[in-house]
Parts: sequence; C-alpha cells; structure tokens
Amino acid sequence: MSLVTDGSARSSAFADAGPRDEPLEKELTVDTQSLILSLGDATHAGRTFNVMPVTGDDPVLQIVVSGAEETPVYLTITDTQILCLVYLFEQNEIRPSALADLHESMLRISVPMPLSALGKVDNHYVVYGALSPTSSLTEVMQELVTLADNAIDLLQTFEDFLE
Amino acid sequence: MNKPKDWPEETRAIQATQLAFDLSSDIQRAFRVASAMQDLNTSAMVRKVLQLPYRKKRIRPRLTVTLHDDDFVQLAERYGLPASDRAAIRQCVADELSAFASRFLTDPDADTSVK
Repeated sequence: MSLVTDGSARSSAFADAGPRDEPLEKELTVDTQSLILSLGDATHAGRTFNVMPVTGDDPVLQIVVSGAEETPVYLTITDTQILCLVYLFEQNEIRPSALADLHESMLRISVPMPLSALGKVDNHYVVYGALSPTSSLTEVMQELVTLADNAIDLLQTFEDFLE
Repeated sequence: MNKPKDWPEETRAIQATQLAFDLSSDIQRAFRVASAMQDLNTSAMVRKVLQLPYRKKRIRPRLTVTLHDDDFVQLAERYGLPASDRAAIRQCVADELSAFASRFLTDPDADTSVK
C-alpha cells in the first residue's frame, strides 16, 4: 500500500539535488516532510519510491522501492542520523537448532554487504543502513534501493535457517 | 562488562520504527481480512476506503488443493484408510473442509487446529 504524492512541491533541502550539489547545500538537514515530497517524484537507477507516513508520535516513513515491494524500508530521522531499516524475520521463525549457525552467518555477511548491516530490534532481525542527516537525495535513494535489494538477498540466503 | 553507552534519541527512533512496522502490519492484515470478507482484492478495498472508483467485479471463488503421493499417505494415516483408496481419502478431505467452513462461519475464533 502506498501513498501517492503529487510531487508538485520540492523541499528546500533537495531543491537542487543532483550533479550541482555543493558543500554548502549539503549542510541542509533532511526531514521526513521533504523526503515525502522528493521521493514521491524521484527515480534512481530506474527505481521509483512509494512513500507512506506512518501515524505516530515520531515521524516514520514506510518506503516501498519498485522491484522490491516485499521488503518495505522504514525510515526515521534524528539529529545525528537518517536510519533506514527493513524487518527480516522474528526470532520465533528461526529453527532453534540453526540459531548459532545463523548468527555466525549474519556476522560474516554483515561486513562485505554494501551499505547495510544486520542487527536485532526486540525480537525482530533487521537489516539497516544509516546516513548523515545532511545526505543528498541521491544518497538517500541509493541507500533505499541498496537496502531493499539487500533485504531480498538476505531473506533468500537465510531461508534454510527458518522454520 | 561495563554498561554499554546508550543513545536515548536513537533508541527512541528505533522504537518509533518498531511501532510503525507493527502498525503497518496490522493495517495490512486488516485490509487482507476486509477484502476477503467483501470478495474484493486488496487494492480495490483500499480504493473503496478512500472512496475512489474501484472494480466491483467479485473474485471468482476457488478452492483447490493439489494432493501429492506423500499427502495421500499422511492423510490415509490420519483417516485410518489405506493410502491406495484415494476416492475415500478425497471424500474425507471434502468433509473436513466443509466442517471447517461451518465452524469458521459460526465462530471465526474457533480452534481450527488438527487434534
């Protein structure tokens, strides 16, 4: 499910994002409202983005990258980072006898995996990437595409460890 | 081990993401259930809620199951029938599915697990 944005307005942070990025402009901090507007109208490496803000006290965006619809990315922004996160599976989905091997495999995969790392939030295993809050739109889009694709690869890789 | 450094704002952001994931999952589940109850596909259900035009064509109700050799062996054991008597096994399958539907329609919370 996605919220279609009309993209009629551009955020100031991303108004001139692209080849003309200059150091001064990159100091502008990204916020979720500007991302909703910018991503809804953007394409990166042929991929598009469906953005849905999720109701709550703290702004979180659910972003579906075209071609990776089964692994929606949850994005939130703090003063120090843009955190992008995909939920992979829950602990109770893992075969108990495979838990140690899975953890070993996750630790080994996490280092070479481009732009992403593996972690755990409560009972959920996640893959995530973090960016500077002054990242450009292009950098955010690259992160989203890479993370969503990584998540699909990881789900296939870890399939044998799951019930 | 020393107490690890905590980052309250980052922890709060992660919790917000967790809440968002749970909420999204609940919303998706609600739409799957609502669309099934109204014989619509989920995208039509979303459009209906948003009062946008949607195709009212009902999904053709289909219920099929493909039984493999291993399935017949397993079912035969459960029904106390010879695995070779596939007609009788199919009859038992039909009866069991019908019984499930009767129970479910009168009490959706009924325990449907195999005893």
